[in-house]
Amino acid sequence: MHLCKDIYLTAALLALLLPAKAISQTNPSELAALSLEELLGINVYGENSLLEGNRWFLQYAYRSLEVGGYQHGTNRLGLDDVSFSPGSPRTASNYPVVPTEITQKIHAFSTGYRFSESFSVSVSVPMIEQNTDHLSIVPGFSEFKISTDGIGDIALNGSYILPSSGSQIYSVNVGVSLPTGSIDEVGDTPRNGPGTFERLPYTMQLGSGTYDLLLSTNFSNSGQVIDYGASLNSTIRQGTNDNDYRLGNNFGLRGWARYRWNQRFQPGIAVSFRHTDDIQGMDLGLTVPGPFPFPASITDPDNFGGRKAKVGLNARICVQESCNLFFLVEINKPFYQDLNGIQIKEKTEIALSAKFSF
Amino acid sequence: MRFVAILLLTLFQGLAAAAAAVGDGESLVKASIVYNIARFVSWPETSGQDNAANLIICIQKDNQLAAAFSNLAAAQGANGGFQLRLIERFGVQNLECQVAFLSEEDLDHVDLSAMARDAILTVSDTAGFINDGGTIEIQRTGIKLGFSINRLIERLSSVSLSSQILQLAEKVI
Repeated sequence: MHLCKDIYLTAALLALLLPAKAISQTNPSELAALSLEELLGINVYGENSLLEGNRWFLQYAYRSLEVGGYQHGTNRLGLDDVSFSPGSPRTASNYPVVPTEITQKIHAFSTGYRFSESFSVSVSVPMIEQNTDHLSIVPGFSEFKISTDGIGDIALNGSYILPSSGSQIYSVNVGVSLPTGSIDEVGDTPRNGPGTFERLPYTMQLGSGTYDLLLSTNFSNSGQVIDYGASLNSTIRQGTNDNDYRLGNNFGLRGWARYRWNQRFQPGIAVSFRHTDDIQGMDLGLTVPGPFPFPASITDPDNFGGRKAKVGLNARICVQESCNLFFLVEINKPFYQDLNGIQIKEKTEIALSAKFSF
Repeated sequence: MRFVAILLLTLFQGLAAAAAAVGDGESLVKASIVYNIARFVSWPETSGQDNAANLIICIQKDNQLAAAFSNLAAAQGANGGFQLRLIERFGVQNLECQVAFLSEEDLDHVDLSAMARDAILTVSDTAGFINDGGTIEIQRTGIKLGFSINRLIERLSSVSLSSQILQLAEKVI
């Protein structure tokens, strides 16, 4: 019922946005027919520009995330602090299986269509590769690696730019993330000994398993040499997936500034903050019998979410002055992490993307 | 991964070629702005006539906006529009232009004062153009285009800009 309600809500919002004024500067004669005031009001620069040919876009984005080293709240922990050793007391905060490093690589392919200067829609398909290195006290599993790969959750988005004057742009985005990514990935874990395949922890699954509402609002201002902006975004999970849990909702705030060195090269800086809730519910397939049901920190749903702040450096490189094709290179490092429970902390995120408008 | 890298490289080579082929919309908007401004200008010999019907805009063939002006002139052709003269080099040919659109390179070899005395409205998108003796400078302001006017040169050239143009200018010096 929640799902149907959300889909209807999203469809209704998109339907409201569709009649947005369509300005079709698609050929020289149409441009020449505009008044001087109208010509001076055309957005000629940036991703929201709607000039000849800029109705479709294709985008490829690559993101690599490296996670390693433990934290409880803001306190750093060593591997010895979280590893259970035979002979020492087993507690809720030490584990017989300890992931040491997680790497995630996402190749996202997106396309979109701009109906007008105000309204556009897009679809994004992520392909995900994940690896986790582990140490454990289980014989035959002292060091082991688990990998998963496949399609993630496909996202559909609608974006509406609010009417404004001057160089400021305000936009709202409403989208839905479809549960196309698997939540039933399996691997050879120590849970039932070697050669058996069990369901993998939450971090190794490829999707959320739920229909998620994607909401964001953005502000940007373009000056003569400095562009800057901010965005608020959130992912609101709906219901519970087939494995009886729901990933945490998250809410983010991002501020950025970009220096327009010239038409082709624009370096920038970004600061972001994100709050993520812990996992609601539990996948019982990840637990073991006994007083300590979680064999690894990443199998405990309370050990997810928290607050992270990051700083990033980026550069936008346009192939030509009109910037129909541009590349974006970005590196982000967290400078503050307050994590729920015992978690592996984020180290570095690298993103590369190319976007072509036509 | 190697296959993916080759595939992506090929894809983006194709996209880069396609991007180069796609028309430059900003140039087209600049050309349209120049044409629109010129419609509200009176020249000594055309006073009281329909400016648009007799308008001659000149631009060097190698100017990166030449294609945009050509497209605009072709689109306007059926409706009267303006005459476009693609010239080899400003400063060499005897000009019969009412509007001259100049690139930064053109400024190295043109005499802006002489053009003004010949009642040629000089326009450029080169930064600082009106301070260097040009009449109208097209510039980007944030995400949009605007223009500035040097009224001293306007008076020297004995062309007359309408009050509407003066009101829409971002800067008048």
